[in-house]
Amino acid sequence: MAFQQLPPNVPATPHQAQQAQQLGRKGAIGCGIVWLILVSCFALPGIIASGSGFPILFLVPFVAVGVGMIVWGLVPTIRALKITPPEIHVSRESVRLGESFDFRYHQVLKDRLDVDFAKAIFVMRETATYRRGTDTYTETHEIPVETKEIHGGAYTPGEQLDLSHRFTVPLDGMHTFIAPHNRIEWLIKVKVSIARWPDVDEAYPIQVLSEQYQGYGAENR
Amino acid sequence: MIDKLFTSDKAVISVHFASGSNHTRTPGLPSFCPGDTVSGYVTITPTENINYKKLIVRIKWRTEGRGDTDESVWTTIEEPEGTMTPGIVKNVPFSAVLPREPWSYSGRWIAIVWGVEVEADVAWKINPRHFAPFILAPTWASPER
Repeated sequence: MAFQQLPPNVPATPHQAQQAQQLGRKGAIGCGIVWLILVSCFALPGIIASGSGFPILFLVPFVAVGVGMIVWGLVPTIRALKITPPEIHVSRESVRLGESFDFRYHQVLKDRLDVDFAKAIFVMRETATYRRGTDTYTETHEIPVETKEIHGGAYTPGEQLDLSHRFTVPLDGMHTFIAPHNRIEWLIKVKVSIARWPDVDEAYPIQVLSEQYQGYGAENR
Repeated sequence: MIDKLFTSDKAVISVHFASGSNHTRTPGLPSFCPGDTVSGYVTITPTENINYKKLIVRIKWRTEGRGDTDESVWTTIEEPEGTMTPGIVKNVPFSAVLPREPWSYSGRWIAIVWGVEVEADVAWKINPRHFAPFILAPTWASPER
């Protein structure tokens, strides 16, 4: 297909999405460290020389940016102290319209945690990117199709947070479309809200093919 | 207003489809299934003498909506240099087997529009051009979602 020759640098499978997330977090830690080194090399000596007061206050936002990047990069590591990283398995990486697939997701608790809610939402998302002057803007619109939700409560060590579910792509849906400025994607968005602990907010892409599922049960959908 | 500045009135261009069925949701718009053959002819009626370097008929898709435009040409039919005289209608036939995807789509921020684009490449003047849309989607799918 002509449009598939365009260079999409968007993860196409849940595995690729996980790798991209990990790479992004590691990149943030690296950038944060480099940023803090630069701040300490160039700004700190001058501020120390000029004494305390306003100059130190001036330094605070710069340090906060570096620390913020490192903390964001460390969120999964911090979260893993009390809950294992998500284990994900999708029965097929590409599905046809009207076809079902199994999404397996579970995390094991290492410590007592209060979970507000946990849900996996199967959505179709439109993403449009455009430039105005020198700025680039992105607009998204999501259409939720199916949700698997676990109600909140107190979880004890050893308990499992299981969001596994069989999702079905709507028969009258649109196939996955990836172009440089416009994308139509199918995603499973996982949100786990944990009281006083970093939340889980991740998205895993599902490739929807431009074919209709003709198998058993397709005519009933 | 601005569009008018870049529109040529040197020719009246229309596209006639010989195949395809009328879509139920968008009457008047020819509809094709993936793998179908889109065929027909382009009619160009010049209102003044036009010396063109190339006459191009493209079967293509493009995106419309909020995002910057993405587009891809599926088939190109080119006619070499020539002249068109007022009152003499020029016909250019076209035919192509359509691909499996992308399907026509109309969402909130994105629309995927298939069509036949006609352009006469005229030196130092605004090129006369025309775009005639059609729908590419399986019969069981709806382009308006």
